[in-house]
Amino acid sequence: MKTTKETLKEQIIQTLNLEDITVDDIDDDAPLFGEGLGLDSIDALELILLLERGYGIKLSTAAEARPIFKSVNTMAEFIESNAKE
Amino acid sequence: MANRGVKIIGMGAVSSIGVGIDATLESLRSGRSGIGPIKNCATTIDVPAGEVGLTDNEMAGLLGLRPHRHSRTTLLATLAAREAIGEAGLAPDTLKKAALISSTTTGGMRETPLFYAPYAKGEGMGPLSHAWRHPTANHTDEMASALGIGGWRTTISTACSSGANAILTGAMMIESGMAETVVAGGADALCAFTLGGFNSLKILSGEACHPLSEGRDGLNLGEGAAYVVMTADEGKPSCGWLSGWRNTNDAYHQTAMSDDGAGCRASMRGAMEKAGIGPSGIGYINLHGTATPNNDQTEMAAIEAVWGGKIPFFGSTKGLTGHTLAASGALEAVFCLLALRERMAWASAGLTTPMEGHPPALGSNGPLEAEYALSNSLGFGGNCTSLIFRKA
Amino acid sequence: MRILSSAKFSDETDVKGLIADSGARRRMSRLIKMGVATGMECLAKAGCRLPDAIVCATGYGFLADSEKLLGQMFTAGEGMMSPTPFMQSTFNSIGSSIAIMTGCHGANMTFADGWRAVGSAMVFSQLLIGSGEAGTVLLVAGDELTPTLEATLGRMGMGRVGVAPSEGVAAILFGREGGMGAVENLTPTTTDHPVEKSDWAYPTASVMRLIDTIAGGSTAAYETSGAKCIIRL
Repeated sequence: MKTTKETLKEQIIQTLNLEDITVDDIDDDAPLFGEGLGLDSIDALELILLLERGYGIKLSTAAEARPIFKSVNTMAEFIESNAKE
Repeated sequence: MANRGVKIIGMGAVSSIGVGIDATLESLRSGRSGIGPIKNCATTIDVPAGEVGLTDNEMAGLLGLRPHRHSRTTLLATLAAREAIGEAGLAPDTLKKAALISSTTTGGMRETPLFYAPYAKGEGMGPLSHAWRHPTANHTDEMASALGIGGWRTTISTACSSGANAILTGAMMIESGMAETVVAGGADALCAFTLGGFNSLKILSGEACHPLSEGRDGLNLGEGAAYVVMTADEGKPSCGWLSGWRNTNDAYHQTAMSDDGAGCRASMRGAMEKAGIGPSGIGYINLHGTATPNNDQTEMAAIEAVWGGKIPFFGSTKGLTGHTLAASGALEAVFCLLALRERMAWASAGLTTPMEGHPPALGSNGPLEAEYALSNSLGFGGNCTSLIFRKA
Repeated sequence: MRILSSAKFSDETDVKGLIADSGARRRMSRLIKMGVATGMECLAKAGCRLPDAIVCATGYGFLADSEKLLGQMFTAGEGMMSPTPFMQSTFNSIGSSIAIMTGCHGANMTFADGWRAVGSAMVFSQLLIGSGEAGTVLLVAGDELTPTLEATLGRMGMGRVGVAPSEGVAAILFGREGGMGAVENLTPTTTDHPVEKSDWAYPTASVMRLIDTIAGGSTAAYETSGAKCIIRL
């Protein structure tokens, strides 16, 4: 049974087209932006859409998104407390 | 040594601030903005925009064209180009050999959903005529046909710098002797696709935009078309000159400019080099000035690098018209020509508190005695174009 | 202007080698990747790391991205469109991607002009070199075939008049001196129909023909929709 975090990692890889990265390559705690995976502002926009499309969570500003997207851990926590079916 | 440049003998413009040059000038003088709630375009994006105050049927009627046979982009383009050709007073023979360099980012995209939506839902294709009108080249062919422009033609599409690049290309063709008369400009109709796309980049403002202002939070989209007629013919009286031009690339990121605006700096310097003048020769700068935090910041950085402490009157007119995409470079070329002709620098519409740490944009229309005006158009993909105009 | 090198996209094109940065590659749609790889290969063949200008030609642009966005519009509404394909659907995406990769700050023009696109791009390349603004100009032409385009062309009756849809990318590096041959007497031409019928559906074909003419090894006239010239080898 896949965990939320595994599913989330797969979704991140797919949405952001991370060609050479597998689920195992992404550390739960590693920073997603800046260093770590090195994602940028366009990726942030795509992840905002992922939250809306995949989990029904709507963020109103990009600034609101920053702390949520710090790592897979923070994203998974946020999803678990806010997801609407 | 100042370069005389290429002679402009006609101009035409359609936007939310007016259909035709006279109405447009009236709005520039009074500062009347065309931005408001979207009335003529079905969309779920809740933002204001600068819509042209004519329906497709009304435009077709004005042009003597059959309704429902042309994309809105084509109708806008044809209306503006007809005015430019009219002012230029081109003989039918000259028109038959005149080159047409048009530009657009949307082409027939406003109408494409009518063709594509049933297909996407598995119901088979919609009316084929909309597919026919989808490509960017279609509007160029249709306007050429409607107006009898019979020479070499092409369609440029470089996002927000398209219209300026069309004019630049026309000037190069005349200067090289490849063409004697050129009609050049751009057109874009407002559509759900573009609204949705810009919304996905989160660069739209939910209210009327505030270019060059502290706390600005995004742009308004607009629609429109503008064209100029340029010629090598020594005999024709001019309404202005295109003295300098340069297209460069920022080579930094697809949708954002580098912090110091290197590409814009290079296009402004390059245009001045072409015109054979220095920064002190420019009396008015019409910025690209979309009111996104990134654009205005980087464009100002570039301007300050070039002019240092002595920046001439400057401002953005997108607070009046919205960002008309491909039309913007051509529309703002017309605004510069009008500024020089009327001896008036246009206020930076929508200005609230000027950006901190920068000289303020022009708060109200001011007298302009200078000979030259410069217009910037900065597009997605780092495309930067600067055009320098000279009084007639 | 002189012809310094040329390249056509093929199954052998080493996309990962030519676009080494996987971070850049992931942001590129299929057509952009083909366009950038072919452009970079063309530069490498000429030993040119940085062209002075980049000119792109496409008939119909990035259809796959446009369709993806249209699909999102209809199924989820305008509020749910993805930013990446929207960026990629702008017609100057190949030109700007190559500019970012090479650090090219020079002129960067894109002609999205149906069957005239290649002719337009050649005229503009000549203007850049002739005016002295550029010493080298990289021309990249590309078109992609989607199932929708193929079905639409079929419905328009293109098959019946011998128009074969296809897709491909090709690039030529023009310069002021050196190289394998020259483009002489380049003249803009006015045509109401494409020089070759298939250019209607696949405008990039005319660059393929130009490269084949050059490969032919002897001086020949070349004509595409919007431009004609002599290729002197």
